[in-house]
Amino acid sequence: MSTYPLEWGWHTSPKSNTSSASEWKPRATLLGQKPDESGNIDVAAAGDLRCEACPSGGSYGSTAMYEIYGRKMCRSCAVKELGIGNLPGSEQNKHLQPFLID
Amino acid sequence: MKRELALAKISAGDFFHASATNGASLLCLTMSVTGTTILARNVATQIVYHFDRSTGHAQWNVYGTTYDCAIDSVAPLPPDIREILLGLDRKGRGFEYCRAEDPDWEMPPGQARLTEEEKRGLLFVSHFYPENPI
Repeated sequence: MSTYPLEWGWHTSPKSNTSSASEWKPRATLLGQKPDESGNIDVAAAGDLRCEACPSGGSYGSTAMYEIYGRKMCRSCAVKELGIGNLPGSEQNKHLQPFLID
Repeated sequence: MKRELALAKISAGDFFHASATNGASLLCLTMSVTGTTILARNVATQIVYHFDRSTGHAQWNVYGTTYDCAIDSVAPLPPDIREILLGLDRKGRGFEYCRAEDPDWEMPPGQARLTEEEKRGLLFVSHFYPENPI
């Protein structure tokens, strides 16, 4: 016996004959994993390091990739701090590589 | 040079280069050497690394992420470049001491500015070490 959508009403059983609540199993998601399949909690991203040199402590939300003598900085602040803004990009990279942290 | 032999020759005061899996280029000044460990700091960041003396690898835990660092060159630097890197290290140590005395101390803007000599030194090592691998 099958339930037709038009038959549904107060007088019909809400129970479907194809599955019940106890039999219900989560379907695989688009990523191929069912919820709680791994048994672990998926922790959200911890977040990026924020640049400590941008105005108002990184209000621009820049990600700090370099540590210049104890201060975490984004690329543009690091370039400014080291005074290498007038160099070509490839040379800037060479100067910045020893200060890279992330 | 055989890797084990090159690692065994590293002694306190020597410079060597290591690469981290995040792409960082570590300009390491050896602080001490034991039978199993090479303790060294990156003169640019003053971060200290414990390298396994037999493998030349170190684990670098930085803000929740662990990177593998591998010693890839122990070529001795020309004296002038060595002096430049020692100068960079002194500058970094100075900032570390200021912060140790006053935890709220902040580096004044522009203090980290590289001199022309420091730029020359960093540019030199950026090609010197890759050209002289272990």
